[in-house]
Amino acid sequence: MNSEEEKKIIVQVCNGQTHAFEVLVNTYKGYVYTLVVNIVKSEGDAEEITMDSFMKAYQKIHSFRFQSKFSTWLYTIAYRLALMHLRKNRHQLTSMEAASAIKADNKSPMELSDQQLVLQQAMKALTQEENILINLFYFEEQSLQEIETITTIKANTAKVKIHRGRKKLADILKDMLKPEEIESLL
Amino acid sequence: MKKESVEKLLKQHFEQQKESFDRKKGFNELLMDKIRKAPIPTVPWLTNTFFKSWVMALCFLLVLSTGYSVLQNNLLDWQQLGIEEIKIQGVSSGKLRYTLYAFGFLLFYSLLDRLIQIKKKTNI
Repeated sequence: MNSEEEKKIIVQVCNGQTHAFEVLVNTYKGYVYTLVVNIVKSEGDAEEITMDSFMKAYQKIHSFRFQSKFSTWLYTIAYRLALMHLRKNRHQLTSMEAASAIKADNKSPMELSDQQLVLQQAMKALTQEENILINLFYFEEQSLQEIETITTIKANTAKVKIHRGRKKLADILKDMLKPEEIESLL
Repeated sequence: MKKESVEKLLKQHFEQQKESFDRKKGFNELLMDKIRKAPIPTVPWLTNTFFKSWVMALCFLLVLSTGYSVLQNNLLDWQQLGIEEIKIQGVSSGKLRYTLYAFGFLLFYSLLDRLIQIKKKTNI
């Protein structure tokens, strides 16, 4: 969906056409969920927070001023709700526990490729912040400036952390994957 | 290991998480049902609670202060009092006029808010 179409849909929602909001839900629900699940590390909680994020976005849609991408605005809501959830529950899983929780929630190892399993193992080495930043940068395709808007982490700091996280992953993967498997990725 | 390979693996990893959620059924239905039941979002400046509270508070202050002046000056017998008389007794006609404006504005504001709500409901 391009930004013009998105703008049209948002205006429709603002004019009371509730059903138009479903288009935005279909476009972004997977991305919001992926961001949230990497913060809260629980599939059930992530689903609930994803729903709350869309509810909040719907209720506050009039305050969206088109000064940023809709996705950036939506991810900011989701990011804050996820952090609030963590604070409320007062237990932040360590990255080790977290990754195993996600692993338990996701597909069985049989359904995943070897590379994916190796990556899941390697992701455990990342801090939660690195994980979120890498997710926003590589998957949600947010710029460093947009990441600063979402997380309030300065663009330069985010850049360093993303680089550090990626390097950490590369080092681990280099030891875990065979040279031919690395070749196949290119 | 090259940067591109790590990026490719990462994208695959997140894509897999996204797809597993996209495949789940019932999320949209539940969310849209909640949204339909939720109050309709309205223009913030008009219905913003903070703004509304301040307007209400100012209007009430004006009404209260006029009421106090009226009581203080034993001007309860409204039938026998014209604007000029009130002015003489200590409540300026200006104050009375602004109180009436405040009431009028509150009435107009409530009606406008209500009309927007009705228009939105009929648009669904």
